Amino acid sequence: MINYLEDHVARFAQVLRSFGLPVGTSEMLDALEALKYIELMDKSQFRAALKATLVKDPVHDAFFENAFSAYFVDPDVRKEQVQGHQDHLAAREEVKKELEFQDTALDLNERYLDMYLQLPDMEQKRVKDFVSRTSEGKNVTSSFKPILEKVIKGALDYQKERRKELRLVPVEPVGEEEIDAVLHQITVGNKEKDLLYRNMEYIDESEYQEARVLIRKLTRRLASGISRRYQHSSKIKRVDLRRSIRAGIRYGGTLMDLKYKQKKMQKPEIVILCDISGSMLKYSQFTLLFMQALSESLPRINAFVFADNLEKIDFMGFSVEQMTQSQIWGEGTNINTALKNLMGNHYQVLRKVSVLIVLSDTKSLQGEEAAKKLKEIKRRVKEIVWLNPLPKADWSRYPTVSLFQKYCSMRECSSLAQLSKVLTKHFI
Amino acid sequence: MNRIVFYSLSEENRKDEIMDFTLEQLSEKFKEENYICGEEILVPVYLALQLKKPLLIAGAPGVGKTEIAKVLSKVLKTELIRLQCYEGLDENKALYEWNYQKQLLYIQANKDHDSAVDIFSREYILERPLLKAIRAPKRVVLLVDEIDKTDAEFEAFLFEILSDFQVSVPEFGTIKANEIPVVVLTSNGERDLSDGLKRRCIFLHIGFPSIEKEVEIIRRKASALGGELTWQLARSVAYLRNEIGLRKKPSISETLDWAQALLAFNADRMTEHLIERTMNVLLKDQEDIETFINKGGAGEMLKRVKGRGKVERD
Repeated sequence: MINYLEDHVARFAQVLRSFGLPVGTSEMLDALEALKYIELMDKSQFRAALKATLVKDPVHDAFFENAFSAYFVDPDVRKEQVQGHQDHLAAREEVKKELEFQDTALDLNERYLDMYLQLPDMEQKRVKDFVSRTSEGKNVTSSFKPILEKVIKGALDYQKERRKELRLVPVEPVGEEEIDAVLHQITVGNKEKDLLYRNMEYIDESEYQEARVLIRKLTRRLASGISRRYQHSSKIKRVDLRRSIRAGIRYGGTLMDLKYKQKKMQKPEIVILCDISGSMLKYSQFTLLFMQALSESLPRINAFVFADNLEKIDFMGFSVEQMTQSQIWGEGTNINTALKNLMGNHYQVLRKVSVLIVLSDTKSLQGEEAAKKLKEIKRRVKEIVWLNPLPKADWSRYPTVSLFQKYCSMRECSSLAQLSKVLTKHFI
Repeated sequence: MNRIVFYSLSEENRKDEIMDFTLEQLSEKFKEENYICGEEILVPVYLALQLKKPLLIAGAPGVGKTEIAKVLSKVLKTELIRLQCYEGLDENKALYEWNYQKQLLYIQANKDHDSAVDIFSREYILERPLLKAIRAPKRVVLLVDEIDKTDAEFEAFLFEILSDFQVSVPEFGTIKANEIPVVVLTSNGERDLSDGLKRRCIFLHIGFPSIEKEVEIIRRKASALGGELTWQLARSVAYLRNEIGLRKKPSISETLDWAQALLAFNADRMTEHLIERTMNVLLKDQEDIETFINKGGAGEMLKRVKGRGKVERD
């Protein structure tokens, strides 16, 4: 049992790091130094001191608050946390036994096992019965196992879509019993509330207004970066003679104050293609809202939506509801046709200064043909950026991903935070 | 009890311990200067003073970020030196510049005589805020306002200065600070600041205050407003901030503007007509005004803020 203050601060920093907060050694040393100057017995002072030294971004405030109230607890509560975590691990093992296919456990990762555990009893029973019925079915061989695993994962993903309580914040355990118990406590007690980090697919209609405000905030930040007029460069500076002479007039014509030429930044031209076939609709809606807000400061954005065919979007009077009224909404995806149409009917938007952004999960007909078109487009534009909402870990399962990756830089993009990060990286 | 003690950089001046007070005393001093805040703000300010680290304050416009630096200069009874940041700000404008006119005049006046005066001496230097803060004979408060508006290069240059508090002028060497200034940086979050800068600072994010705190602020700054109206005003602003999803939430300074507007109309209670007449003090975006109207406008707001929570009567 560790009781030293230093150890507690170090462990608390580790908890914060598990949630992705950038807490370095210098922050930790500052925190320890800060604790010398406050009343340690005063919890609000203690909390404020740790927050001021460990958290350097307001976005992380909520994580800090949750972590603080889960970590700094009485020993009895800590015992309960550890017990709760052990029970949870035992329950996971139990699930593995419950969901066996012909005496072999199904290959479900911890995320799926946790999702199963969070389901109500009725739903759990349905899944369990389905597995056992399939397992005992006639002519069912072991080759059915991967198919069954896919079906179960699909069913759990479907439930996750419907039930908010299944959307847990992903966190990596650190392998130390007490810390893992705290992490578990924070994860269970803190469902993914933050719109910024939530998968766009799970943003409910009731949250649209909140999402719009968030998008405005993000684009304002991005737009101020893009609208900077000059770029500083480390190259040798060239004297701007005209401005230097003008500045020298003050000093009787002597060139005392040399002015240098600065490279003017060119605002990027963006062509964006959004897939609006079934599962991609929400991603496209939010990405286009983002682009619409950005178009106020970046006028040269051409937006298109596609499924089986291509349709141009006009940002004037654009609304997300409008997309479900589109003729092509809900049809199957065919990137090849969309790219062909883009090259044929809208060839003028593909210029050497433009960046083509494609938002799609790459699941498409005529993948090889589409890859050829991409190759051709790549020659005409500055860059192709592919935003893929599928988790990066799953990319290897889709052959189209590797086909398209040859000609574009592909980025995982399922949340507003990721979208903002990708655009910042490419345009600022 | 812990105490703030300001040391001079030079050993012989170490006995110049001018400031000597506790967190409670700092809180009192802030109140005396009409800055109402809780421990969530006071502790980081106190720690920045204690650990002699810059204080980086982030938050929406109008929540009182710059005010903290002003109050600190009053509390510490010292000068406030302000560096307002903007795109294109460079070392010449922030640190020092040679006084070319003076140098030229000197050369022209003495061109027929032999002169031993060095025109690259301190006499010919024009001090800009950073150098002024470093050379100040006593400790000052240096406010670097809206640091997020500058370029990343300037930010890197700034944190070099902030870590050593010394400047090298090639023509005559290094200038070391007589006293480490109290540095306050503010940011509106228009761009992410570098991790290096953040790491060197004590961080403080100021959010919108609670209704009770806002009532206290209004009382201090617009004391002529009646007790009940003060509560209704604070609750109305809280409703606007939290319940209708505005693009730009009203800030504390806008709340105070609204209080002044209500005073100008000699209001003693909130009415629909009064809200409609004065709403543009709080909402300055057409889209926000439309959102407000679509969500029920003044009538709905009045319904929500009346008869809810504590209402204090004078």
